[in-house]
Amino acid sequence: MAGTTTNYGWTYPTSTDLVKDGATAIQTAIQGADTSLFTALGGNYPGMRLVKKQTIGSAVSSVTVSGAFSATYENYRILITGGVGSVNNGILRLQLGSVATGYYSNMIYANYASGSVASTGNNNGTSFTYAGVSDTINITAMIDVNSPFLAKQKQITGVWYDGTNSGRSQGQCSDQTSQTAFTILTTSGTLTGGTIYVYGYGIS
Amino acid sequence: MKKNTKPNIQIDDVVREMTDEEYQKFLDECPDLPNLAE
Repeated sequence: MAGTTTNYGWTYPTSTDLVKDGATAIQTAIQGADTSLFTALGGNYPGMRLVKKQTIGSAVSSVTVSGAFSATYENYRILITGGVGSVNNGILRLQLGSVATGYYSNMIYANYASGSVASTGNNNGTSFTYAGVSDTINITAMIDVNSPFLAKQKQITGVWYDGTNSGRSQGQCSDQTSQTAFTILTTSGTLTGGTIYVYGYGIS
Repeated sequence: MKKNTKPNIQIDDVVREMTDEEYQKFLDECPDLPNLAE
């Protein structure tokens, strides 16, 4: 007579069961584990998962990360931390794949002291601007990209700051082709060290 | 264009100096963004 496990009730055979029923018993037991894990984790690809990690080299003005986007996830977060830039107030840009046109965005920012709000635009640019910051202390970026792998236009958001203001950049890449890679570019100076992390948002 | 003024380019783990063509493309695509700190 079969028994069941204590917590999730997975069925297992007993030592007196017939050997000829072994394959069926294994199938039943492992299906129980599969079902429990799927429920506990929240799906096949739940939560946020690290899908790519890239160390930035020495004195580079652009870093291309290939194989970052795939059919496994629809939406992604790109984080950059550590390292140093060669200049202060360096503005990082983002390109998806080889797409170098059709970036529409703006950056709305406010002054730390006065709180005064202002903005700057990027109309059909060659890249998504104000995607992050590089200075002589560190390199930092926190970018969300919606549906880069799909044959659709892609929404992008990022965070920017300097010694006087901080703001949020948002917009889109109007290109409607599937992209698997992205490039981080400077506007001035170079980058040394630091790490680019790419996370996929779980789709379950 | 002086050879030693060209920055490096990185593709995954490979870092190398930009070619003249890549450097010109980089300059052409680099926007003239305002320095908001000023």
